[in-house]
Amino acid sequence: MNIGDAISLKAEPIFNVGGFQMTNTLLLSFLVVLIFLIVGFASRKKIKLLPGKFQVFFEWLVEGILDLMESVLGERSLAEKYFPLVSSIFFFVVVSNWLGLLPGLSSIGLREPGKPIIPFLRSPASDLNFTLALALVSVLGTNIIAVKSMGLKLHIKKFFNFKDPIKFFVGILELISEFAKVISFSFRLFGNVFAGEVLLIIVGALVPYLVPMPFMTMEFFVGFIQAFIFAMLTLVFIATATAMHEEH
Amino acid sequence: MQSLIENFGIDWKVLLSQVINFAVIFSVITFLVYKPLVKSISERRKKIKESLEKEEEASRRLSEVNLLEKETLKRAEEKAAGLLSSVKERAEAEGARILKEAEEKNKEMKLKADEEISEMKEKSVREAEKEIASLAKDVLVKAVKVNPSAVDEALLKSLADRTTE
Repeated sequence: MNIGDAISLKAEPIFNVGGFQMTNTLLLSFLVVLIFLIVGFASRKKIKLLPGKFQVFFEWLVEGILDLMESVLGERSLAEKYFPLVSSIFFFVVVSNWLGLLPGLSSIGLREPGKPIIPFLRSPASDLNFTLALALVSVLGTNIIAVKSMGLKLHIKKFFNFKDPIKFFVGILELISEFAKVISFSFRLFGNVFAGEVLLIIVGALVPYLVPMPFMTMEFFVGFIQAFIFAMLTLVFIATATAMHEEH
Repeated sequence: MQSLIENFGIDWKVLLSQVINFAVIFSVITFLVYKPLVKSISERRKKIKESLEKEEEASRRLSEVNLLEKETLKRAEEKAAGLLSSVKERAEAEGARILKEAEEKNKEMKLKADEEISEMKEKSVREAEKEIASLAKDVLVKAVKVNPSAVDEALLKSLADRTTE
């Protein structure tokens, strides 16, 4: 069997539900959502004034993220306001990446004679649909925040300014940069995770035992870093969107 | 563009599902974890602040009470000292008075005793004189009985003595 056959740029469809193709990346994404729902509902009942171990952990996490966000945004209230968006992006990406790294995930799947196994579950970020969706959410989210903080008129003026040629040109660049943001967001995450997956497949095919372990560790780290970068970039764009408001 | 979508397998339905997935996670994090957590943290912060303020108030009051106690104690001591000194003065005055009285009484008693003694002396002298007179009379009577002339002689002699004096 050729290694190249096992590498697919697209997410493989597993089954069809009324014309809707359920891909393996979407399946894992659903699993992540399910985990979040379970943890969310379980933790909601356990939140008390006197915290238990889990609550202390959650609070530590929330406080840490809030401190980091405060250092970027400059204000605690802003950090608290935009925490849900930034942390949702971070946790969705990091949990997806780490679940996608689970050993054995790529060997459980549809078996057809003469063809490589199509795994039931695949890291969501190795599918451009996932990263593009998140990139759109991030960029649209920052634009909505910008509109909310400085008004629609001023926000549109940022892109279309006919007062002088320089500002007009800058506006066009700003507009292009918004699209560039979507592309860079989605392809950065996709490229990293997909490359990691390919790397693991190749290393696993060359030396199946022990040798892939450091690579797994590295991919574990990359999964965290990419989620962090995605969330931090969103945070920085939010910071510029709200800082513009202060200038006006 | 078409080939890009084809190659990367971009499907708007899958894309939309991923957006919905994100929305679900966003709501879970916002409403089930973040907001209750922030609420509980702020409640706890409030409670801690309140109890700290209460503690401060309590310690402030305690120091006030301590100061008051010290002041009261000091005042009481001063009062007690004043009382003691006045009592001492009064006691000394009383003692002096009692001593004086006793001395006067003593003097009086001595005077009275002296009077009584002199009275008794006089009385006893008088009685003794009386006794002596009666005794002398008896002696005289007896002497007359024995030797009446001797009496005459004696009488004459005493007469003679008085005249010579």
